[in-house]
Parts: sequence; structure tokens; C-alpha cells
Amino acid sequence: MRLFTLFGLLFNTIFFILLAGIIAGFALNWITPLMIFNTVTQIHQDPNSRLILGLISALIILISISFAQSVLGKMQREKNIAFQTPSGQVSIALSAVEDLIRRLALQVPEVKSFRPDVVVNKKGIIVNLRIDLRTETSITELTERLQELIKNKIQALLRGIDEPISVRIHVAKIITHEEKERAKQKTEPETKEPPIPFYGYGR
Amino acid sequence: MDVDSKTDLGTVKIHQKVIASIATIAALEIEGVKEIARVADFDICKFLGLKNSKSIKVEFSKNGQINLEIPLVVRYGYNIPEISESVQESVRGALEKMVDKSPRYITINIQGIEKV
Repeated sequence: MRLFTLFGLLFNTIFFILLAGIIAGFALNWITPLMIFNTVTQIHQDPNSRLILGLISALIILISISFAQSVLGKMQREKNIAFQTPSGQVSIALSAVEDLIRRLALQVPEVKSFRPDVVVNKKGIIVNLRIDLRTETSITELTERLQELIKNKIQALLRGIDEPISVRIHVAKIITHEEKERAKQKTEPETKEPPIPFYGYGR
Repeated sequence: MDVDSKTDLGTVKIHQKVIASIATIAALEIEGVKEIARVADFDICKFLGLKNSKSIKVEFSKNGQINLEIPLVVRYGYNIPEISESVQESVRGALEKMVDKSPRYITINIQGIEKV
């Protein structure tokens, strides 16, 4: 797979350098529109050239998909918390931990909206939580409570994994009472006049 | 590929789909397992229709041993390492009982927690 990734990388680099070269040549007037037109017409008139061009395009698509797949696969593999059991490996997707944090944040009524992001590195499991708060809440008390809740729940859920957990909370917005009212007014539909009975039935 | 076992009368072949089905049922029996997750990878062979896209991956090693990879979605509030070990034991037990083969590695991938 490593060789294939290298090949894909090399192919993409050459392809984009060639493309950039053509564009630069066009910009510097080394390649004229007439030259492009003649080449395209020549290819279009010859069925063999068209067939070769079609095959090249199919090859480019396949190589690009494979390359993207290998790169994405590598990224996916890195986004896991893994541990070994006697029967084999267990890996937990970080998106699963994010799902858990979403559920926990929903339990706190003072939190209006939230966006969790979980990272695992040498320091352990790091939870970055961006939240929007409702007013009339003590931020220090609430964030402390939320940090405790998230930390305890992750520890309980991943019992047996001794990774240190740190929860970073970023309060992005505090929604005031006025903003709430404004949002309410926006969402409320305009009051409709009551319909006149039998309106429009006249001759 | 199939699991082959020779008897006095001939050969018994068990398709890998059967292994995957047994593993699915055994995994779903464990409390806390919501479902078998669908793996969203786009292998080029799957893209071209040359390979079936399955949730549970069954692989056979050269010496005929089975390796399984099970993606799971678990219920909220359950301990993941405990569920994973229970699933591994349950799948191992079910395969030993039904196919008379013990898998070498059972890899569990927790893909998600039951959505709200």
C-alpha cells in the first residue's frame, strides 16, 4: 500500500505540474488558442486518439479514487482509541466519544448548543467542547460541572483504559434575554387575518 | 472463501457469509450492543462491484484460521471495554459451537454510540 500511495502521489504531482505548465504556457503566449484548437480537432477526428484519451481519463479517475481512499483510510485509522484484549483488538472511533459528549451536554439545560471535538495524542484524551450558553447561569460553576460530568462519564465508559482525560471548554456565545426574544419573534409566523366565510363564492 | 472441513463422506464448505451471520447474531445478543455499524469506506473493488460490501469482515489466514472485524454501535451508558470483551467471548463461543472453529483474532471497532 505504501508503494501505491507513493505512486499515486507521484502521478498527482506530475499531472498537476503538466497542467500548471500548460496554463503558464498559455499565459506567456507560448501556447496559442489556435494550437489548442488544432490539437483538440486532431484528437476529435481520429477515433483511435479518442479511445486512448477515454482510457487515460478512466485511469486518472481510478488512480485519484484509490489515492484518496488510501489517504482517507490512513486518516481514519489514526482517529481511534485502541486497546488489546486476549481475544483481539478493540478500537473506539473518536466520533463515538463525540456522540457520547453530545448526549451528556443535552442533559445540561443551561447549554443551548455545543460542538465537541475529541483528540487523542501522547498526553491522553483531549475533549474540546465549544458551547453557547443561556444567560442567568454562573459560567465557572457550570463549566466545572460539565467538565466533571464529561470526565466521569468517559472514565466510566472506557473503564480499563488508563488514558488521562482533559476537558477544555470554550464558551463561544452567551445568549441574552433580548436575543432570545428576537429569535422568538423571527420564528413566530405572522398573525393571519381570519378568513371570511364563503368569500369568493359570488357570481 | 469458505471454511472447509473434511468428513468421512466428503467435504463440508461453510461460506464466509454464514460466519458473518453467526457473528452478527452472537454480537447482538449482548446487552448494550445497539447494532452492527455500516462501514463507510469506498474500496475501489467495492466501487466497481467486484467485492461485496459487508459490515462484518471475515478473513481467512493461510492455515485456515478465521479473523473477524466487527464494527459496533453501542447503547448509551454501558461500559465499552466490558461490552467488547463480552462480544468477543460470545462470538468465539458461537463459532466454536456452530462451526467447530475458533477465530484467531476478533477485532471490535466501536463506530458510534446510539444517537439521541
